[in-house]
Amino acid sequence: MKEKNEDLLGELARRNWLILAVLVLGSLAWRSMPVTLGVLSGGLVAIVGYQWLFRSLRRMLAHPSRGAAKSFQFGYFIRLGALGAALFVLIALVRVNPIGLAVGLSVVVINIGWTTIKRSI
Amino acid sequence: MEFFAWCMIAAGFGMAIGSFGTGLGQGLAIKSAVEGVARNPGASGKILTTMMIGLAMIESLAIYVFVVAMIILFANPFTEQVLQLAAK
Repeated sequence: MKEKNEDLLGELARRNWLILAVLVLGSLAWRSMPVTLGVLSGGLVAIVGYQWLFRSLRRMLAHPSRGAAKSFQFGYFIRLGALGAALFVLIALVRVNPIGLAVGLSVVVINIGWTTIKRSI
Repeated sequence: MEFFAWCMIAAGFGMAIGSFGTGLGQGLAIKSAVEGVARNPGASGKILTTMMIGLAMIESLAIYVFVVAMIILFANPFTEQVLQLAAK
């Protein structure tokens, strides 16, 4: 069961890229650079955030100690700051399409929803 | 100018409410996961997987709120119209 669950996270990580590729291809129908850039950048931000969270959680749970918890807390704030800064740059400076950005950011949510539905059938 | 003041209030309150809910949700999820690992350390892999998925779902809500707040503050679609109306 443990192997199956570990495989589930790997499967989710792989499918994230697949969903992002499908969304980016779909966004090409709008023939708009800000829309495609929004979907692509939003998806990248979501996937990087997901991978970062997964790695830091796994590191903390593999060697549980007070130092590991502090390191996780510090990493968590760094991650939130990096995500916030990336989104600020994308929205305020690069001016990507906000709807496209929201769609791109939904990559992980779509993936989890898809996996849940697939497993419940 | 009231429009911009209300935009700032909306972004601030929206982010505060969104963070409050997300913080509560993540705190409850981690609390339950830690209790589960303490009771059954053998199930830590399964619990990590479930918690990871849950945290990603919960956190996406905060990210959406942040995006909406950023749009209200820096990419507000009504800014031009308000400035035109103010100039008249």
